[in-house]
Amino acid sequence: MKQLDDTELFIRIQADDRYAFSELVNRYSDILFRFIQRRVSCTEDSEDILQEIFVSLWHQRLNITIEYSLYPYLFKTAKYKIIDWTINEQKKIVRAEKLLASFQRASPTSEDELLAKELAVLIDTEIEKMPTTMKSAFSLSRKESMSIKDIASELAISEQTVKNNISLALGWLKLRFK
Amino acid sequence: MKEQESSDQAKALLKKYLEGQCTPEEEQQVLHWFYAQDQPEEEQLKEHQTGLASRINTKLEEQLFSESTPTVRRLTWFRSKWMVAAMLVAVSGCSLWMYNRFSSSDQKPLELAAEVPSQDQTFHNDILPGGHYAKIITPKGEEKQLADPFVQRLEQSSDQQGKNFLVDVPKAGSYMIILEDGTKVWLNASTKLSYPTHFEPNQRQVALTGEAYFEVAKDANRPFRINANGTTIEVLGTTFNVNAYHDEVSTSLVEGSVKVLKEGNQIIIKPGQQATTSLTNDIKVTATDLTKNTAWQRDEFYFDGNNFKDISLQIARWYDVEFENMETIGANSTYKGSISRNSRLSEVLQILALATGRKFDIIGRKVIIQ
Repeated sequence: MKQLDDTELFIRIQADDRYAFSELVNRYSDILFRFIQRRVSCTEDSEDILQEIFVSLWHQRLNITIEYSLYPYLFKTAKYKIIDWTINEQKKIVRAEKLLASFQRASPTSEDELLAKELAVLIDTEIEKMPTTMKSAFSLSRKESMSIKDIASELAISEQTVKNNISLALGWLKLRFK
Repeated sequence: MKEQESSDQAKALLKKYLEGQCTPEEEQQVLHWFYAQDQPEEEQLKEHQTGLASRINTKLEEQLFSESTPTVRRLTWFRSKWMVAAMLVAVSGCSLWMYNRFSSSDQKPLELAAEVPSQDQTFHNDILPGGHYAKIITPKGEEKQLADPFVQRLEQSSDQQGKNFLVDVPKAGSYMIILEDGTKVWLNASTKLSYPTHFEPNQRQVALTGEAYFEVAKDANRPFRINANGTTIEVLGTTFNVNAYHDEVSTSLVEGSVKVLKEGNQIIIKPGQQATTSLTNDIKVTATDLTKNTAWQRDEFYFDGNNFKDISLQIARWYDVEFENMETIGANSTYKGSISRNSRLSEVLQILALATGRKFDIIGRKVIIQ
């Protein structure tokens, strides 16, 4: 189940496969929780909101189409729920004047761009959570643009191990963000 | 007060946004505010996040899939009608098509370990992993397919008192059930479990062949007894794995305590120990690697010093295949490593090829060692 990408997983969810559903919960809980918690300071409320996102996904599963991944759907649902929480649970909106200040831009930014920026930050934390060898091999390769050979000597492991670890790391990220 | 005023104004704008009534400029305002909000993550967050997914899964299971729970629950989703409106707008475009597509499909179970075309030249064809599936045979002899997972709490009542239900998990299948006392049982491929229409007042007795992982509900007055190929395992409430594919039955204890009995011999084991009964009725206790013995329950093949015969048996059971030319790989070499049970057969064989230095091919449901 862990090997399935989001589209395959979601087809199973639409066929009422609850194991697939629980794999989806495993896959997205942490990153969604962090997204919510950055805006909803109370952890209990954040967890409630997280639960509601999955509940509504289950109820809406036949009405949703996804292209590559579920994350746009999940994060936008999170946005609606966080805004709803802000209206109903917060007596006063903090820094309300920031919301009211109008934006003057040459061309409007799309929501996808804004979301992508935030995801980049969250992905970095995801890389932090990888097992040590995988993390080192992956960051040296992608961030420092080092060759496989150099990484192998730097980490004192075989080139094959470096290759294996990088492809594992890509698989790891792909599963979470594809 | 000015602050209060701007807060109210801000709330009005957010409501407008949820209702989909914003002008493009206002929408930009809300989006920029929303994505710019960035409270630093709290330090104790890490602590809070451990076990988060499984906690959420448990709550969801209760909320969505448990029949006994009343439907009155805190659901802020339905509290705000504009939220529903906004989401409906967002999804209405595709709903009709999806509805047509899925309402007509009859829910036939996914084929287990299906043969599919290979993605590379190495193999003639490939085989998908096994899946969650079981068949249940009622005391009346009726057969039901349990393809939908999490059909957990099984109906144990029946007018046929004193007779048994049988859960039959085929090759390439695995399944989890919950018995009437709350005991959870994970069943591995090629496994049968029979249990009575009702447990007796003084004991809970089931019979097993194959492999199962038990989380027995605590009940000091009713010991839980498993009869597995002539070995009896007796517990009050605890977690353990039973491997009873053969007459030699291994019980590995995760927590609590377990009594293993065979023909007058008996022994009590502690967590981390394994009791293996033999044909000669003696019981051997060894320290055991729980990660290894319970790996299947976590959807993993986990080998640590297993020989090839043992490895091939586990693979054959999960992909419903047979190995040919087995004798060409010596029984003395042992292997280490773990592979997800959700991998395709080709992926598993590629790793085994690296480990053994041999080439493998899949032809139909046969694995050929070259």
